[in-house]
Amino acid sequence: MFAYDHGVYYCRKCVAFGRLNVGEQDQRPTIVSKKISVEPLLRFRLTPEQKRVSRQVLDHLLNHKDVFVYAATGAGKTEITFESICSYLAQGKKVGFAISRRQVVLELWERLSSAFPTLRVVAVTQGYTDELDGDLIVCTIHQLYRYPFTFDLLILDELDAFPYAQDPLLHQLVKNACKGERLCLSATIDEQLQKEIDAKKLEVVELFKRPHGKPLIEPKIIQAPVWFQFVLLRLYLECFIRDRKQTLVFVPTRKKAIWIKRMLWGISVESIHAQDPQKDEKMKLFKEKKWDVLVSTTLLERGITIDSVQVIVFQADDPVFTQASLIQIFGRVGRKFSDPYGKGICLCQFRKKSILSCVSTIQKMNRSV
Amino acid sequence: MRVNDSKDEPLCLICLQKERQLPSRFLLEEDVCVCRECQKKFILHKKSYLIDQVYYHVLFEYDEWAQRLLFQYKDQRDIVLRRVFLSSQEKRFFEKMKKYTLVGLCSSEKKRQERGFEPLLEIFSEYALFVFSPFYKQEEIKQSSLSKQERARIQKILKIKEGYWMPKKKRMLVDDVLTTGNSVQAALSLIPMKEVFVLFAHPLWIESHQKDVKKHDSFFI
Repeated sequence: MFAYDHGVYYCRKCVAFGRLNVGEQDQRPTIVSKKISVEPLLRFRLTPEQKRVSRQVLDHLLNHKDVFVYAATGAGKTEITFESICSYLAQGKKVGFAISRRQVVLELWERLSSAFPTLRVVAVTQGYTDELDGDLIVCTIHQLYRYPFTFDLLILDELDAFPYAQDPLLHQLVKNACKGERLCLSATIDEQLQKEIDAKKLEVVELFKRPHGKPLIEPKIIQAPVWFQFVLLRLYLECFIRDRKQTLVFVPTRKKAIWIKRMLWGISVESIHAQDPQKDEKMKLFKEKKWDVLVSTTLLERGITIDSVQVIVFQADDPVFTQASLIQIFGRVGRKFSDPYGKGICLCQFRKKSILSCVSTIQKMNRSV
Repeated sequence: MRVNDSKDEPLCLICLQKERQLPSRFLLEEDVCVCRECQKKFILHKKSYLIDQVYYHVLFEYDEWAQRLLFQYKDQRDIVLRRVFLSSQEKRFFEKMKKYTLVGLCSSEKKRQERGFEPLLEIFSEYALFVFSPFYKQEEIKQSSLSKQERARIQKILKIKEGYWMPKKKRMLVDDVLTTGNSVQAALSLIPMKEVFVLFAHPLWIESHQKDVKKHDSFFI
């Protein structure tokens, strides 16, 4: 699959990761590994379950096995990787953290930087490509093309998220980047993962209990025509505002986010979506309680933690809301110790399989806690 | 250039899949380069806006998919993609464009050397349309990486090449993406023109100019 341009050939399949002419040497960043002795700085102690899982994960990794951590949203998946990160760094090995979404990379970068203040934690994603090497590299999965055969430990978060889940080229990038063990984290198991588990290529470790010990929020499903969903949306929002709670409203498309924001007159509301040039700023302001309601597309379904937030999904039967997506969305509720409860409302016209399987998976996780 | 892995099965230049469904122009045009699925991903806009006595003709809406495609074309230097942006346009569109002197906002000299080609020129030259480049930037800046306030600096940086000749027939400014409009404004302040053609316009720009939509009798029909 080659193209010809003024006397040279280049591959069209991998050009998205940087054009390399036939016969040309690619320019890889210089990657340095050194032994680093470090302990994470946590604002809270790990629970006994988290410690157990953390130890189990490290044991499997030290036995050169790839691991899959099947954990509920908000269970503290990131924190249980810290013991493994410290162990690998102490041996002078290279550790990378790769995620599907840019927004989550930036959030995770902040979290890892505060957990490891003495380490040079580098974020590598769109708009952040000046520094490519550090003690700990956090990047989007696309950026792994820069790191062939680099990582002794590659931590992959949210494997069920777009675009990794459907792109075989990204799977190949992951294989190329990791020369040691993979540590996979996810709250849902898709077909690809299930195949690897069945083939015993991954050791599975489960963690369904959130640190505060309270169950996951089970969303309330309300079936209604679209026009009535809007009436209910408004009623619920007014109710949450009276209780002084902020709300995240998830809608299927950017246009609907803009439209619903306009229709919610009299309410302190803003909209946000992936193409919004001010999305980073809006997220920051929403966390600072500037608005009561934030209407969003699936941009905010993952990796975002907001105190005491309620969640409403509008037109939850739209195909954009998959089972994995809905589990992640309702996982935004009740993540903090200070407010482990909350409400999740699922407005839909039809009770699709994705909605029912989201609820049944959450119920299954809660039963095992 | 397409690479065929079998004699009669052309590949889509974007997704590299065999063209499962040939577009309807198949019988009239030999050269089909984008499959139906990829063609649907272009959000066709085809509207004209009248702003300060200047017509802005917008072909597509700019979304994440378009952004990635342009990134692959310009920054990853996938020159083959020059054909895809105007491939859906009819013959009369190109005949209309030939009546204008097309004036382009170009990249810096450094970028042109790095890439080995000028993206905007290549898109139009595929269809035998020449784009003149009378402008240059005094500093190396990439508009897309700047904030809204920083983008306004282009007004001070963009200059005209001295002694640059262009035909006298009516001129049209062409650009690939219209985001804030600062680059276009800067160009129009140096060389006044009555019409602007852009491949993609940002949804926020479209939203803020909804009241300026005005049908241009001879452009998008």
